[in-house]
Amino acid sequence: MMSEEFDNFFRDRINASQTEVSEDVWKALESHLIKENKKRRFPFGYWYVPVAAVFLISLYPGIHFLTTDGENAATVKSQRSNTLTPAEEINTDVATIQAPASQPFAPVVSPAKQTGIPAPKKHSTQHTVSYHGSDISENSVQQFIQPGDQELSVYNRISVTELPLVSTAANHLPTAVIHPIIGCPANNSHYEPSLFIEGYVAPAYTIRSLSGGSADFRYRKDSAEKQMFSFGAGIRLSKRLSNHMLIKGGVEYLETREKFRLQREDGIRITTVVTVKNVNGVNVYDTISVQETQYRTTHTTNTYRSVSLPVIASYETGNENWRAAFSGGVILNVFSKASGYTLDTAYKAVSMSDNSNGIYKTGVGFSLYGSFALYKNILPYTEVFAEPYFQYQLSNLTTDKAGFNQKMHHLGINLGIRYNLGNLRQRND
Amino acid sequence: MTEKEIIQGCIEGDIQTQRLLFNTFAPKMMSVCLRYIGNRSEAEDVLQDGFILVFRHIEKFKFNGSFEGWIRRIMVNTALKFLQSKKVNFVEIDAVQATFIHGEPSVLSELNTEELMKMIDALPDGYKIVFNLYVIEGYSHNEIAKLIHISPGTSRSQLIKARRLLQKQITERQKLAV
Repeated sequence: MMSEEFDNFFRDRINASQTEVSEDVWKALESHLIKENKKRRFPFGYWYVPVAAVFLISLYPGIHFLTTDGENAATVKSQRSNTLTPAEEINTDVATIQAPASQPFAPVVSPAKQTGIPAPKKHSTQHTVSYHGSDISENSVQQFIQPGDQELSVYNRISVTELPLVSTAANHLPTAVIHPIIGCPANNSHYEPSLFIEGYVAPAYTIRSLSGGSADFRYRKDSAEKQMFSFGAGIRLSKRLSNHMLIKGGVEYLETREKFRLQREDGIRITTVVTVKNVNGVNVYDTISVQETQYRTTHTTNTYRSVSLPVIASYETGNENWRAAFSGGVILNVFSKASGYTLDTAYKAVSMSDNSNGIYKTGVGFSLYGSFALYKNILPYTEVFAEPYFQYQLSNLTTDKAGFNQKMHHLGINLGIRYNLGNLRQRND
Repeated sequence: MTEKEIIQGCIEGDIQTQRLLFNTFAPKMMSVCLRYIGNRSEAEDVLQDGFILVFRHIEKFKFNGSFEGWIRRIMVNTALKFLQSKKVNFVEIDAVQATFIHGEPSVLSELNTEELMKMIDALPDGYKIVFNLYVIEGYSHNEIAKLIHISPGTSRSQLIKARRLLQKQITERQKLAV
């Protein structure tokens, strides 16, 4: 019988074979699957549900805070309209006036006659005044003042019939808020951008810290695992809180790679050679024994992936072209996954992807973050930045049952772009 | 229920559908596990671990090939991983010309699957793994080399030895039958 026929005979008979399975296997599997199915529905565990709820609830005021131009909104005081006289038509065209520094966005009504500038062709525009929650829209007053300008160009057209709305009615209504239609970048030091988005990539060097376990284990683990590099990317929103202080929050991804190489004894072969010599009719036995040890080497590239939420406070200073910032904060690791092989305390190469080994956590905890950044303005609204940083991990990557503690600290540089979202904030000079 | 519906139910984590899938494939896969791991209790552990992986990664099945083949590969890999934790000797032998003894077809046909399984199980671990991977699963020597970290030459020599031992067992049966 040829080897092919022989193989086919076995394949045909064996391939379709079935063996009865004990019911206990399904019972054990079922209890495991119930847990897995729950995990599938709630991939981050139940405790994330209230955290996520709090996060989502807190998002609303956060978004409101970030998107409302509270500080840019100008407040119209009723007394500002007292100079207007009902039933008196005022043709107002280009007028140059001195704006009060404390109320740069306040609508200003100025008689053009005072300026002496010839009146160009009349025009009127639409403007919306938000007033105690309701909008008063009239084809009456057009006021658009470039923020930050000391010398303001005002285009006004106020008709006689509409004046009471501004003057007398305003006396009864203490506060009206005008939302600026367009937020322009500050052209002097009194206004500065207040909301940015930053995107960056981050090559990093990883410093591994091992503790716990025996000294011999730590030595062997260090020998078996060589750090290669880390690479990250992220996106952050930053909001200016004062002239120099910013708060930043976002999400970032970090991937660390290491080489794992472990040589293990895999078997011993002993070869004994017995040589018989006949010397003068006497048999002489010469025995030589050779022992060969076989080794098996495991080579893998291990990967540690994580998704984190940075919350960072930053002190920033500089001019329009160059800015420098010192930052510090915490980074909450929400998800991490290790894959590849690692050495366990029994000196065996075990899979890190297999959760049953239970060596590495899937959510690590907190890290401390410190950085220095340089920003260079390259285009309107756009800056590039380089931000060397150090990230110190507070929580262990490993679980309690791993038998050792492992942390990974990162020394890297964020290289990215910061884009000014157009919101402006008045400086507190 | 179609195969696609079963897979979809398992992706959604429906325990009844998972039971259905288990009942459908477990007997065949138990047979696969037993071929690699002779001990029934250990084979059941491997079967359980294999099915955990099947359910965990079932959404990765792309319908490109046979679903049973996909499950079988997971079982084989799980069994190999289990065996890796044990010391399995792959002793290098010199190139041996296999001498196949001509067995009577009647003797072969008398052998049932259980007896064949027993014969395979009686092989040394290294021979058994290579024989199963090459002959039953259809892996090439290069693929086997990568799977169990041996050289393709070692895989070939293990297969030759395995065939010779199986032939020897069949011949002994033949003699007994006479």
